[in-house]
Amino acid sequence: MNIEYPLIALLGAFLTFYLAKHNRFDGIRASASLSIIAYLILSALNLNPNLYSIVFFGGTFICMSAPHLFGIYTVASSSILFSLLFEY
Amino acid sequence: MLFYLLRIVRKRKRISLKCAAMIKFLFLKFITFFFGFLACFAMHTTFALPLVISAALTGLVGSFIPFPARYKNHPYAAIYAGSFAGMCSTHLITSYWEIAIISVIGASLYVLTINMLQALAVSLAVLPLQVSLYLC
Repeated sequence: MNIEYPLIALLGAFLTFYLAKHNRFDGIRASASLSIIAYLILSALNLNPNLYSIVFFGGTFICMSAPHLFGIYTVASSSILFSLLFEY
Repeated sequence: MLFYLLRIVRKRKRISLKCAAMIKFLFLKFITFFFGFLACFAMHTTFALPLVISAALTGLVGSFIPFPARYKNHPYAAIYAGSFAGMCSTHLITSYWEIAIISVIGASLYVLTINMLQALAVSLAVLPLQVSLYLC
């Protein structure tokens, strides 16, 4: 199993989790804007953006669903579960 | 007797008002889901944008559309869910009727599970799995 998938999913989930708590952002805006930024960064670094941006996007999507209902442990476990499902 | 009849009429009126509000809500969900789906699908098929950019851009632009405050953030969530469904492959969608049918199913699931699942958590959290299945 690739270690990149859980790491990227966790990064996406936690960034969305913390950004969604900001006043000007809600879960949807945080997820969408972070996904665009992540895609641009990955394509600038030429790091297979089509694959890794989808993992990142999945991670943000998990967390933007309910940032107020989830805690950090739930977010972490959901992201790891998502990365496992994505790989297999 | 008259009191009993009046009570039945009031009860029916209340039920019909509730039904009308529900149908209106479902229709709004359908419209927003449909346009989210269509925008994302058109972006990645017609304009050849990457999948993630087209879905995220649809969600981001959709989140700035003003909707009545009584609907809270449900229309935005429906647009984003629609854009997520719109990430599917062109091999699966061949006509606009299929988009409409998917939108009806998506909107119905959203409305029916909204009270059951407390907010939009699970109905949306299932979708990453869908995308990964479509892409692999």
